[in-house]
Amino acid sequence: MSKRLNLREFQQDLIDRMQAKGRAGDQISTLGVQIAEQNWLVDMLDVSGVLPLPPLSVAPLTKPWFLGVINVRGMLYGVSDLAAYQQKGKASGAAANRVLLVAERHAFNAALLVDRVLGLRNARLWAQSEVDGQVQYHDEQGNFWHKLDIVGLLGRPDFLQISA
Amino acid sequence: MAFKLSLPEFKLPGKKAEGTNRESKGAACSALPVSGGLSVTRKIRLLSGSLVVFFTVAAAAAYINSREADYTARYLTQSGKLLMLSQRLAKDAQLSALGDASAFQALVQSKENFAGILRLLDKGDGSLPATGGAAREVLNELMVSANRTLSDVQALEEGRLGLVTLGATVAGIEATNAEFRNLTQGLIESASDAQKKQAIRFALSTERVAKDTARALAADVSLEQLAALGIEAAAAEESLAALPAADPAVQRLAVLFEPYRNNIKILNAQSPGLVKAKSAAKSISGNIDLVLAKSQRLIDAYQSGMAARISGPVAVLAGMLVLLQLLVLAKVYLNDSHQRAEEAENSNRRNQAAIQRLMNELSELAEGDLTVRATVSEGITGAIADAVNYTTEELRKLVARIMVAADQMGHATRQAEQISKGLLEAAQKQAGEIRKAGESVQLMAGSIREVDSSAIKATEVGQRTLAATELGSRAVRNTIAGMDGIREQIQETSKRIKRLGESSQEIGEIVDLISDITELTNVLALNAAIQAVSAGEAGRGFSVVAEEVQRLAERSAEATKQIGALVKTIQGDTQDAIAAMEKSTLGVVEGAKLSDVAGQSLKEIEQVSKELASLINGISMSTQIQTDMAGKVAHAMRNILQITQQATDGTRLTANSVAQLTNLSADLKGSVAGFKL
Repeated sequence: MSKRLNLREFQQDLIDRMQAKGRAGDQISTLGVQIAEQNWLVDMLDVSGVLPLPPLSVAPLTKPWFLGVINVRGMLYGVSDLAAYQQKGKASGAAANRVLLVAERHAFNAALLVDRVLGLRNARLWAQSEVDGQVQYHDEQGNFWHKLDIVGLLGRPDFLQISA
Repeated sequence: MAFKLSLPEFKLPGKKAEGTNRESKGAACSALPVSGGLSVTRKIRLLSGSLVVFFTVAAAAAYINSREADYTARYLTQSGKLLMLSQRLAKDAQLSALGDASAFQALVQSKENFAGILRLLDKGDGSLPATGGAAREVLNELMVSANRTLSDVQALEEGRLGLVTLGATVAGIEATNAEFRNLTQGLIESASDAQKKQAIRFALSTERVAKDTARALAADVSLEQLAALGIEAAAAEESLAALPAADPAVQRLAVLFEPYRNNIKILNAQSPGLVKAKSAAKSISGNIDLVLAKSQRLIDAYQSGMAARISGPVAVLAGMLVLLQLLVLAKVYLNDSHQRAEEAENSNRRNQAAIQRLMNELSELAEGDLTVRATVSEGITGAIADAVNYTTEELRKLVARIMVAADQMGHATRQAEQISKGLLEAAQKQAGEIRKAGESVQLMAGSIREVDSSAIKATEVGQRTLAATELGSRAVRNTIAGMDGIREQIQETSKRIKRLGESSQEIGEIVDLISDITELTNVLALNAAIQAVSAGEAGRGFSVVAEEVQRLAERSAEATKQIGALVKTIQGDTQDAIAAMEKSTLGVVEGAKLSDVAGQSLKEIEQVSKELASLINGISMSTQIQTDMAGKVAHAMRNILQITQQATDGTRLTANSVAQLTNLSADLKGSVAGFKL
């Protein structure tokens, strides 16, 4: 607890970084999430919001990974468990589970359930590699990250076919 | 020895014995005439008897004489009264016959008195006997006449009403006679012829009535006279009726004549009684002289009876005889005492001779010859001689027994000498044994004293033990109190720790809340970053802020995680601490229990050491008593030794005494040998 924050320093640092950001035009645009013990990177432009799982209205006669419908600020979204979809088990159901709302520009009222959101990750500086046509990143700590292609996911017919 | 001394004494009383003999002679004097002068006693007895008889007769005669004189005086008084009463009777009868009412009362009184006196003389009463003797005949004659007189008086009394009426009539006629005569005279002068005749007849009739009644009162009366009186009265009444009733003189006459008529009617009704009374009065006055004469004779008869009494001379004669008897008695007594004196002198002389002989016989006995016997005669010394013989015989037996006893005594004293010698040896041996026993007792006393000193030391040790146990039990009590304090403190601490645990629980809850908030902040920051990215160039600055916010949220989540872990650890530690506390509380309680047990044990030890101390004290006291007892035993042993030595000395003395006794028995034998048996 000795690492106490100095508010003045913090403010100065924050202003400096904002100015630097403005000059460099460099912006972090990926979000790290965890699905079935695997780390995934999501482009923040594909997402319009993150929230804990609200009360679900279960939809009958759907695929096991389609969990149901939620109401967020008057808009209805269909919730899909990505772990179940990838056939790697199920979401943990813990308090850390989060729902990612797909961006409005895709015009697709879908919500994706992940195990947890790990935070903003700047993957530009990380090493990249291709495995089975998929890009893999290695961070400084040596963890592997997959790239979650939301646009591709939305284009897949098995994802769109939710009826069982 | 005693006999030699007693002999002179024996002679001296010889003269004294004469004195006693003389006294016995005096006693014999009364006994001697019993044989020779029996007649004298009888004479005296006879004389005394006749003296008593004569005296009794004289007294009786005097008593009777006095009583009869008293009776006669009373008879004379009563008969004098009789005389007086008979005279009064005669006088009262005379007056009564003339119609005097008060004379009747006196007559009745006199009659009752007269009859009472006659009854007294005839039958007597409680204090006076009936008349007897010569006076009795005179009295009987008097009674005959008197009874006749009394019956006459009775008859006179029955005619009382008639007589009184007659008297009253005469008195009334005499009182009104003059007026009557004037009235009739007036009538005769004033009346007509026919009436004049009637008036004259009336006047004549009334005159005759007055005359007849006066005569009837004064003299004898007969039935014819009374009848004529009635006829005249009727005639007078008739004449009065013929006279004119309106005339005031006639009315006055009728009024005056009314009592005449009534009285004459009564007289007619009473006529038989009146006649009888008149004749009775006459009879009384005729009879009373006889009664008087007889009463006089009765008095004479009583007086002569008094003169003829014999009890007076008898009393005088008896008195003289009593005097004579006394004289004769004195004479007989004097003669008798003279004769007795002579006989006493003779007997005295005889007794002196007998005593002289007895003395001579007894002088040999004084020499020690016990075979001598005194002569037993019929005289006064006979009994004495017999008694002396008996005494001598008993004395002889006694001396013989003394000799035998002296022999036996010599034998017994020899035996006693041997026994006392044996005793002496035994006593000396006993003394030696006792001395040894005394030494043993001394040794024993010493050992007891040692035991006593040990016991005293043991008592001291016991006292010290007692003090130590007391200290120990106090320490245990303190320990128990300390344990109790510890337990309380532990319980207090345990409570505090529990409260601490509860506080950490709350902290955990708060940390959870912070964690939730951090999570929400994180989500908010992410959303903000997403919005900033979607905003493009405009959101660049904002994305930096969002990133920073997101990073801060992550850091605070880390911190809360650490806090939660710490709180968990604290809670576990507090639980462990509470468990440990409880364990130590249990340990303290167990310790307190054990100290209690220890205290109990110490108390028991205390009790036991107290008992031990008291027991040792008892032992000490016992040994002291034993020491005292041993001392006393030793003292007693010394005393016994002393006594044994005294006994030895006594035994020695006894042996000496027994030897002396042997000598004495020999002496006794020698002294008794002098007697001739």
